[in-house]
Amino acid sequence: MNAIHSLQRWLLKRVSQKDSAVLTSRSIYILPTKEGILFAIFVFILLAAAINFNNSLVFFSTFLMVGIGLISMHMTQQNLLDLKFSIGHVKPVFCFQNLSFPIVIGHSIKNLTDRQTTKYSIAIQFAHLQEEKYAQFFDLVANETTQLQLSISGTKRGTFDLPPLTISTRYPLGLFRAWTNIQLKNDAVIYPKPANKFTHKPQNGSSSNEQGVTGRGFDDFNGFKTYQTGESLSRIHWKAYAREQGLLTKVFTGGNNHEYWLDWSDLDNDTETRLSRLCRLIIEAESQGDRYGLILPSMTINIGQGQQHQHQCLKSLALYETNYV
Amino acid sequence: MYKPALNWLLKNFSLLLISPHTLLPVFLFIILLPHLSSTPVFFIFYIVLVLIWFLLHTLGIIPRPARWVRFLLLLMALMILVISYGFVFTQTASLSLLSLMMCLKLFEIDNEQDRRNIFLVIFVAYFILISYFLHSQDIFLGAFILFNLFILTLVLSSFNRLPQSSLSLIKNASIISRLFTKALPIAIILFLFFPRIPGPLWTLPEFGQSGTTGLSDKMYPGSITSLVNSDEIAFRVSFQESPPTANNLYWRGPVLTKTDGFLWSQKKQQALKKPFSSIVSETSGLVHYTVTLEAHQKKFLFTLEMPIQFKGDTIQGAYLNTDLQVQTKNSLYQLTQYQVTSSTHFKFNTVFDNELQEALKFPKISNPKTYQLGKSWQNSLSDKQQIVTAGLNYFKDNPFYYTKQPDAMVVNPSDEFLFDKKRGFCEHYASSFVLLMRSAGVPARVVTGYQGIERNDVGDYYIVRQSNAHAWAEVWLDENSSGKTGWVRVDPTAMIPPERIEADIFQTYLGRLNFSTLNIPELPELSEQQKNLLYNAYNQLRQAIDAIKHTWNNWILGYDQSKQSLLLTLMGLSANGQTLIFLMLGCLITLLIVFQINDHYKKYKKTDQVLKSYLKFIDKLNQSGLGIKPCEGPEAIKHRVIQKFPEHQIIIQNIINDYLKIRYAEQGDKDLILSFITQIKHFKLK
Repeated sequence: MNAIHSLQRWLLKRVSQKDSAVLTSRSIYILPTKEGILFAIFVFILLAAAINFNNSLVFFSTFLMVGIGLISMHMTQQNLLDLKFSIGHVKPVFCFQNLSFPIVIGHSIKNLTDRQTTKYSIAIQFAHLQEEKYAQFFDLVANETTQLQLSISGTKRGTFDLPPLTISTRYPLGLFRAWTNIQLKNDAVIYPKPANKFTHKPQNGSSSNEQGVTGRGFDDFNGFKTYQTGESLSRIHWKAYAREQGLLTKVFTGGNNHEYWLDWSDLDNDTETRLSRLCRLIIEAESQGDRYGLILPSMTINIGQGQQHQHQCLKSLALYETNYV
Repeated sequence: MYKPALNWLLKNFSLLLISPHTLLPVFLFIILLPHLSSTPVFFIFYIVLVLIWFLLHTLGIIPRPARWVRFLLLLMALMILVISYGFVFTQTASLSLLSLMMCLKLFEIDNEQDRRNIFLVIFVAYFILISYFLHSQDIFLGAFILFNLFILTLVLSSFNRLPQSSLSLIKNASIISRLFTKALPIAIILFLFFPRIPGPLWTLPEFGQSGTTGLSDKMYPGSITSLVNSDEIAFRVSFQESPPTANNLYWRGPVLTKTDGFLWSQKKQQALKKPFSSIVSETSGLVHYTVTLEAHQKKFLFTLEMPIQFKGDTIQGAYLNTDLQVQTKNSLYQLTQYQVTSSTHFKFNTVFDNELQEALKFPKISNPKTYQLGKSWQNSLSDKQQIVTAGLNYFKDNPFYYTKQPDAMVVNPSDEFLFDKKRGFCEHYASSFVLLMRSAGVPARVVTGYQGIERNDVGDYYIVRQSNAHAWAEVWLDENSSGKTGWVRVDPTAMIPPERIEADIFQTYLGRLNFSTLNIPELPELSEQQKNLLYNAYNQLRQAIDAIKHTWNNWILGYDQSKQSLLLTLMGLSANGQTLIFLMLGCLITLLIVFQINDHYKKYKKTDQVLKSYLKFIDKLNQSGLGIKPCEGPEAIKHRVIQKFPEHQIIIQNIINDYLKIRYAEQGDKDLILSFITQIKHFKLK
């Protein structure tokens, strides 16, 4: 077993990151399982018995077993062939939250017949977690695609490289295990962990433009928007949630039309604390309906508002100096 | 078609929803059935108990037995084994041991993911199934085993179906049948070309099998009589030319020299060391033939008198003994095939000097009257030939009867037979005659074997049944008497005139067949002619069935090194191991390539020619900037194209109408499809 593990380690070094991975016969490895070796021993005993007793039908049965073993090997390998893996859009999360990767699995060839190309009992798991309990199994009918969620917690802000995945199968007889390692590119971003609430007097930008601002406030109800992580729970429209319409927050207008800059240089801590504090400030600003801009030593984001703006700000925090961290 | 059927099955047979885990004990019970038929009742009871326990456990009704309960169960199993078989390691006992261990292993299975134990149980089940072939190679048993191998493989694959669904057994069936259809040609190639090594790799323990009827190497009054009603087949023979005449159809078996007056047995077995030609001379009337001998669990082969040459892969180490009888090294538990050349006209000299001494020994105290009669002939007659003739005439001139139902003769059986009962079967005649000759100073011995053959018209071969068992005598004649020298065959039963042979004695197997044995309750108002016709048809059927069995024996069961060589020679190849290995690998590789190509083509759906042409048509229209969207139907396309290119109205109308006709007409019209395709091929805008 150790030999297999070191083989797997060596194979993992050879994996390169791709947008999508197609399993070809060149990239699929196959080895007998422990049970497969037991099967081989059992076939040898049968062969010895056949020779010794010179019994034709024992000979034939033995050879049938050999045939079953060989064909099952072929079928196990075929079971992985021409599968195509890619990753859909990954929702950004804050540090120490679970990233959920939607793995999209399909066939690399089109117009397939049902009989030959339906895939069964294929396991997908992280290459560093080889035990079977970590695996997720799926079947894939011809000409269809399926999607699985793989979760892993992001412990570091910035982009996230999904660790190599092992795709394996032992179907149909469990005598052989075919597997391959793939590594997929993804667009996952981990925002810094928001700091605890703290008082901060933001530096005013160009003194607030008082008229006609559609900033969010507390006074007049103006509709709903989807809930964003970090928003005040008191504004969630719970009745809608009870109707299973998802988490909606009530949006109010009027009253508040603050507009200010969140500046890196206003905070005086180490880089990571500053980033997480900025993160907290951005969330607060967005949830209060303020208009805000972000100034980092390396870049500036103009004053704006809305989910897209928030994402842009948080992403630039996430990626701040990641090359050096 | 497939899905509604599946749904229907599910609705009506919820049993199929049971997981493979639960079905395992049921299948194991079916697999064990052939073995259970030959085990004691309490053994069957124990196995059934364990299997039901496991079944209830998988259904969640009762828990798995605790560790100490399992230990008790194991002790019980060992006790059952010792009680049933003692400490003798026979084939049945070892199979029983394996069955018990397999069933107890079931309780070791922790859950459905416990691959190690599940696989072990299934592999042992495979092994038990295949080992049945060591016991019998019957064609029906073969079908049973093949079917169960399939079921076992299905169960095995269901355990590999993850996440496990209750339906996996049914869903896997088509995949496993594909696996088997591909594995079968591989098995056939290996069967044909895998180099066969003759002979056993190691000597086998003698298995305590029993229960076959057949000729043994001992004879006593009544021992051959017990075989006379048995229609079981002893062996089948194929002659290269025509068979010899009936008076030469004596199949030599054990030669019995030693006797105590009641029991006859062989003398000590010794291989013939002298050159064969010094013992058998003036050979002529050669017969070449192949014998397929049913397993008789003894150490001798039957050959026509006298065997000159014999060979066969499964009888390695067989030798001719000093009585010119073929002996094998091991008891024959398998169907055995061998080729023999025999000579029907021969001179048979002595092998040893003391051989004649042994053939003169008259057991003291027994059969005094017989001894006196023989002595009186020795005194009155000078020539050995005359004594033999006197002995034969004694049976002819006195009222001796040949019967299937002789009385029991225990004390001095020869005296009883010769002077009192005078009704006997061949062993009575042969043994009494030999004793008479010995007392008269003529060396003599009993030869047992079979006499006669029965033709199978369908398969062009001959059958020798147990009812053909026979015993005759061999006497030693000096050189100076009327031309005959050496050991000479004498059959005293041949002296009985036909009127003293009881009617049913020579009734053959076919003669015994009648409608009463067929269990047809009544055949009313059938004329004699119709009855004959029916009888002949039935006879033909029986012969045909036996011919199939013979072919099966000959080519499947009897497929060995010599048949392998024959096959190679027929293919025009030199028959050696190297050729076989190349041929085997070559065929295997070719087969795998064929599979690969076949798989590749089966991957893609058959392309629809009409659709292909239609798409080409759309392409051509798009080239002229129509921008047809995939959602547009043929009618809409037609209107748009005609509006834009009124000059092509007719041809476009034709094409679209044809397309609709092909797609929606009740019956496909091949000419229409062809014209549709050519129309599109020649279609051009502008």
